[in-house]
Amino acid sequence: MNTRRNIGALAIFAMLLCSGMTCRQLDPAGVYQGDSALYESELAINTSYDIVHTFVDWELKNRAALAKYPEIGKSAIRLRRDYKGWHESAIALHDVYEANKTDENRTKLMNAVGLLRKALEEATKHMTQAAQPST
Amino acid sequence: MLALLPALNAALALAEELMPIVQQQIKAGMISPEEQQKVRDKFNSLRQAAAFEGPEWEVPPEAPGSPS
Repeated sequence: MNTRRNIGALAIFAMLLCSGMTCRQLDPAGVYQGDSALYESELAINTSYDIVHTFVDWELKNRAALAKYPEIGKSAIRLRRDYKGWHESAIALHDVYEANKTDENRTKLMNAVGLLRKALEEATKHMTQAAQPST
Repeated sequence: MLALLPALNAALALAEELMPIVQQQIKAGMISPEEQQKVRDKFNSLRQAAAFEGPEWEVPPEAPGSPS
């Protein structure tokens, strides 16, 4: 069934991002010039925003139906409160690293990316949970 | 569950959008300049226009389970 297949794809994608398995080599001729930290951070910022935005919108539109999953409501509230700050912090640290590529700045950027990946993982987990045929 | 299926449309649309990315991530080989440019373009548009203003981002006033 396409529904399960697509949700499964979403879950696999989240797992790949969260596990760092997306680290294919960059063609150095590309805009990142081989800098995987920049690429990974931008990919994580893009993808986590899309998924978290989808999650909070989905939770809002289906709050009544999701009442039987109180953990989903709590997670949506937490992400509404915290995600914007994580997103903005990741962009700021991305810019700092891009301007000054030290190990310290890279570590700070990767820590911020880790938060985005956790948010992505959480949102994906809840959407896949609700798509399961039985609970 | 049946009541929730229609509600998953947004998630499914996103999953369909992400499927090519999943396939790209799974297959071996280098990330091409074109793929890199797509990520950069999306990032640039997001940093200029990421919206956190809609009703979907509003914390319900009677929010249960206040953060600890």
